[in-house]
Amino acid sequence: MKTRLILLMLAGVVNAGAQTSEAWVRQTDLTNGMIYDIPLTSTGGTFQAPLPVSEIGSSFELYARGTAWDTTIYLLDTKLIRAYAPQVTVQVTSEDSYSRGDPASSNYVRRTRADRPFGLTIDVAGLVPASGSQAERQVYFATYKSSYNATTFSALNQTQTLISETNLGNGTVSLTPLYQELNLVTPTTACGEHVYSFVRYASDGVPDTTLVQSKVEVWPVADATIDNISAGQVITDRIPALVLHLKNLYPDSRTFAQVYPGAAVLGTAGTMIKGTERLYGTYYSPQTVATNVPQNQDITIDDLSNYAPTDGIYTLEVITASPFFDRAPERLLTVTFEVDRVISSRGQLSTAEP
Amino acid sequence: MKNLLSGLLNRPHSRIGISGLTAFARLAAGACGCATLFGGSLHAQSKQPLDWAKARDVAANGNVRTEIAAAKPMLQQLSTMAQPLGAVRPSTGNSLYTKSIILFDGETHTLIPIGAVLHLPENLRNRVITKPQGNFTYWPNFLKRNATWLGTKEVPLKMARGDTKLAEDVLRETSGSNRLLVSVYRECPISVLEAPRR
Repeated sequence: MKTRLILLMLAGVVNAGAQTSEAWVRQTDLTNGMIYDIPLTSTGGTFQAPLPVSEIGSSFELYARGTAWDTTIYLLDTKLIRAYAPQVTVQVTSEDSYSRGDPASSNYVRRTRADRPFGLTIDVAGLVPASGSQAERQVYFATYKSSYNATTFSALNQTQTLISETNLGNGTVSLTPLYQELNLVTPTTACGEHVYSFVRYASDGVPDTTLVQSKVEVWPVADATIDNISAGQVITDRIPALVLHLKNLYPDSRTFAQVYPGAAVLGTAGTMIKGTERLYGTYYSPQTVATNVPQNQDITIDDLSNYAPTDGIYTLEVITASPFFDRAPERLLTVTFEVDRVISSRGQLSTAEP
Repeated sequence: MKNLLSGLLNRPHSRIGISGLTAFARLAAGACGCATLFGGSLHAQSKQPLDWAKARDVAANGNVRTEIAAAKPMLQQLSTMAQPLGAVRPSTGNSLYTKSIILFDGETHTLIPIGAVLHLPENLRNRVITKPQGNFTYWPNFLKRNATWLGTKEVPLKMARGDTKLAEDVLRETSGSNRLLVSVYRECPISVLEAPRR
């Protein structure tokens, strides 16, 4: 009965993993080490172990290949059947509700932004404090970090570094706030992941077994720069074409440039410059396929004069909104400039004089 | 198509025209399912309103450093549950590769259980490698694309558990094959154990 219950729990994970259509369960007989790989169909369905569970027990590991270009193999879940095993559950909290994997198994990926806190709630149960076996007394907990390639945002071939390690006993604890530890010098540019691994110590013929592995992806804070205009510039002639460089736009975000008359005042809703809006993620753009990495864009603005039709002071801003701070508008860039075409016209008149 | 796109897909930084990028995103989505890198809308205006009263400047490094420094380190927060480490650390890595045989077809590799190679002709020894090369390919797909030199042999469960007599019969049957044969049980790769030592 116990075996069936745990297998049904595994089946739920299989369904989630089957979306990738390349997932399989590896059953290892803990009595003799015999290994059996069971590819899973893309339609999922109830998983039933084809081999009987031996006297000591079996381990079941659910693996899946990443999607599309990602050919990494991920361990999605581990279950020990009939062997003694503690239970670990992990809940990751972030302002971004994005989740990949199966939260029920605690083996899943959440994401956050480099400047924002997140939290972990850890629950460990089933350990026997008075036991003589370390596997029954403690669970090993290790935290790792790994920076992604800053250009491709890929985790492939990146080095993983141990941040901290400890043993845990039974109990529940909420860790918050936690911050990324990938880059503490220029933290807004941090780009990578933190991995939280919980491992059962080997004992009674059962090897070291990863019980839970949760990840938090950390994406850099968006950045904007602009060419051909600078703060305080007085434009006396035709406004030149501007080039806007948007970097690390969050995968769930709305970003655009706007102009309004007058000096910069945070919180001013101006006129959005046509063609500059970028929408990513289903919240802002439900009709398009969601991205899962930051985006870079270069945008040419050649009609700024339409937004500054009369002489005066104007402010150009780049605004982004994302799950952070309740999706409040965040100002990435502000440039206040002056348009004074009268000077230009007078100059032209003066040069026309004989 | 995938190769054609890979350069751009690995570099989500575009400088192409607005309409061109939208069309490209659609093309990529249909062609190889890689549109997650390009998912986004360039034309449609978001219908989600902005709360300008909550507007703020994006975080600066100095402010973030201060916030991080003020936060209590994780191990301190864990103090109620933490226990001292012993001399030995468990293995936390993904042990899949260390418990598998790696097969390589010159471009991609796949994994099968240790002990699952039933028959390995001399001229195919280079198909078994010790470190992964190329991208990983799911076993069923790897088997299909390499059917000319790779096959399977259904074995009884009793043999997989180390029955010498059954193993002798099966090995005699497969010894003449010119393909690398992987032992399977109900079409799934399975390791074949040596007979228990007496």
